[in-house]
Amino acid sequence: MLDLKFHSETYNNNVEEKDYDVIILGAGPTGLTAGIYTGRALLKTLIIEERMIGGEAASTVKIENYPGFPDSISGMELTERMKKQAEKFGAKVVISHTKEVDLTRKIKRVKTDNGEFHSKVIIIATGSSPKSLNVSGEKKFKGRGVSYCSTCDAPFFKDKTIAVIGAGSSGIQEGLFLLEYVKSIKFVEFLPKMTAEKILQERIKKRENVEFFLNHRLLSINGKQTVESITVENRGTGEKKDIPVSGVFIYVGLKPNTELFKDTPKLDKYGFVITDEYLKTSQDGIFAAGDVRKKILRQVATAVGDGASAAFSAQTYIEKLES
Amino acid sequence: MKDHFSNFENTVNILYFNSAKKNPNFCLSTKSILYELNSISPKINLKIVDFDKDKNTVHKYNIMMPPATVIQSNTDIGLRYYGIPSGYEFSTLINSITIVGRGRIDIPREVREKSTLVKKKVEILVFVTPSCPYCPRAAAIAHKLAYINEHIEGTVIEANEFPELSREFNVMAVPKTVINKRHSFEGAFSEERFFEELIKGIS
Repeated sequence: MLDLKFHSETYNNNVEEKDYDVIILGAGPTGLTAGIYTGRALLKTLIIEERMIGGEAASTVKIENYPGFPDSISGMELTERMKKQAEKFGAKVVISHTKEVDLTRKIKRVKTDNGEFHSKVIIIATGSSPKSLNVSGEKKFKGRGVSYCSTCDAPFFKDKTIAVIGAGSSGIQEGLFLLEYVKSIKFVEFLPKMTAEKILQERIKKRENVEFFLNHRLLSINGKQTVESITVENRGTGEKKDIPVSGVFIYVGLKPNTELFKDTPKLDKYGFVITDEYLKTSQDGIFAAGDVRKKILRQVATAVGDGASAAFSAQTYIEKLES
Repeated sequence: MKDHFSNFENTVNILYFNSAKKNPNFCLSTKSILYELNSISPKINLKIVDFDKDKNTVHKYNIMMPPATVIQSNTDIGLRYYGIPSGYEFSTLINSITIVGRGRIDIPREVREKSTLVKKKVEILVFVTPSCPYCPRAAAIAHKLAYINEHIEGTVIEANEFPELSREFNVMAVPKTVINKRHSFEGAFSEERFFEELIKGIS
């Protein structure tokens, strides 16, 4: 039985209307949920996505911890459903590159490849992207053995030995998926122990073709045309070791997608947007929700909660503006 | 899906190159997907070409290997798909059919204007995998550019099913786009950035 996935964002990008009540930047689970709520509040809503509907969640093979799906669901399917739901309640979803934002005026402006849009409120839900390590060889071999997307690139490493950098939940979850293709995996974790969810740790420990280098730092990715090995350092003893691998998948955390915003609204020292409990930022009429804001847990389950709360705050703000 | 095709203004003519000898399993799956689409919309015509026998048509359309799908209006507009359009790549097929069926595309005005200035032949190859959620975007841009400029040809290739081609172009990550066989980039870019890379490949 062929698996056929149809997601429709790639062509329906025509936006005639320029003025909105709410513009949501980002169509991951946070932005889409916010769109469902603002749509149901009958607020005219535009959701602008930079890259891919569903955001980072869409590239997750299997989501097992989102309530309501006991048999798990793929990130793409879950977020496609969220998109449909947001559209059902009137939100317009487009993919377009945002070039510039002006968040300081009463009416906010968002300049995109598809023209300029205006709104009373902006909800920042731009999420976060996989962090790079900036080690020697990482940039050189990107696309030549270094990858950040196991679902995309796993087939190119069939029956090869690879390294997965990071033994948090993302690293282990994606590692379990990669094991369907590769011969073996060398996990390299900076911390002295795995930080993945316990259930994932149990699963990976049962596999025979994995090896763990805990408390190790990745020093370099080596090779001529493509990746041939990595060099790691034991943080306890200082001992260095070369490990032959054909590929390196990097899952070492997330960096916020806040390049657009500079200092408006205020960001923390890592670049995450600072919000209060109502998800208000330092700037009037600007709310932030999901992975992009300073918070303790970045999951689909927390993202949708944030999306709903930000939408409610946005609605309250607009009601006050108009009263 | 029926609703999706209902507002098509143009008939989409799909030319599918099938083979019983080369990649027969891939061909079988591709054929069944195309038959299904053909059966649900009167706006989608399907013609099967025997890759092994009909050398003239294979040559005319410059088909490298089967399964190959050419999506066209009344004439060849340079939209090609090699491999089974399954997984996320089903979206690529539907999007390409939609481009021709609706007879219009949404693309930033600047990119549209600049792309009309391209007067030399450009061959865009986009390598994809069915499990890559970023790939349909790169494939769609290649097909949009091919649609608006007769000098541009957009060819999408399922990298796993054509390992020799993938090796030839050092494909180890997708989406990987190759312009005129000499400039390449990985990742799903915006239309503007994609077009900048295209210009690098022909300058």
